[in-house]
Amino acid sequence: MAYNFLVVDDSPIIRSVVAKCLTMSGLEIGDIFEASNGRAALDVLDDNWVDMVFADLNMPEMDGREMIQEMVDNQMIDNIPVVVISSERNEDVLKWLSSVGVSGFINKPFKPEKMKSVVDKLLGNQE
Amino acid sequence: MESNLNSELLFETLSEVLEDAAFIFTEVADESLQFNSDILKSSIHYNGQEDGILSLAVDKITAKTVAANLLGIEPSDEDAEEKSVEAVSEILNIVCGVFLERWLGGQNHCRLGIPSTVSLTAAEEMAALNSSRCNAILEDEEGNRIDIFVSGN
Repeated sequence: MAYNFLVVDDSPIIRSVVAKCLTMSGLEIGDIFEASNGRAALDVLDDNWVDMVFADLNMPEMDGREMIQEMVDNQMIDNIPVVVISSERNEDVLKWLSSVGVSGFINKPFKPEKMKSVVDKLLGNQE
Repeated sequence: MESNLNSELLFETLSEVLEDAAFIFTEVADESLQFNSDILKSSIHYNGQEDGILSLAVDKITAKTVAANLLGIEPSDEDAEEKSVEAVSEILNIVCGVFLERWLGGQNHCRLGIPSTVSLTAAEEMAALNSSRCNAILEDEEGNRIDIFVSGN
């Protein structure tokens, strides 16, 4: 089964790195959608089937926190796993992410193996 | 574990992130080392239990190498030059998260802003470095200078 991913980050370079890590992970990949902020990500989710979202927190226009809150409040997309990839290690943010049911958190810098293990765990591909 | 703000902390943090994320190996440099080309300085604001700005200054050659290594392409690739500003911003963003955790502890309450990057002359960079609260000067294996410094409170 091929999985569709959405990568949300204002940095095209990080979107490329995440997409590359996913491609290298050995998972069967369908589409990897990209969005540069939370608003654009919600538009992608409106129009496409996505199995998992990778999102940064600090982005212009609509940041990751607002995007996650909108996802939580929308029954059409509230069950899509969200993994936050961020440099921020703020305890308050981590507590909030956990309280709204964010599925995973990956600190930057990250290695492809870390991403694969998170995806495997959340999509039930553990060997 | 909390540490004091000092040059060693800045050096170790930047050095490790550059090595892990961009495969660039560095050592402490003498302040007499000059930048080899025009300079890009990226700055990020953090606030919470501490409030300040962390800045990273590299020459454009190093910026291109950072972009190339992040993307897994050759430094001569057009994309490396195009993405060099963004690459420096992203490395600084990563460094800032690690730096705050090491400086203030794993339970810090600082939030990060969005990095901004500008071009500087060597004189402008020296002035910024000299007015900083704490700084470290590194060089990569090619002898390119890299500055990191904290300013603000």
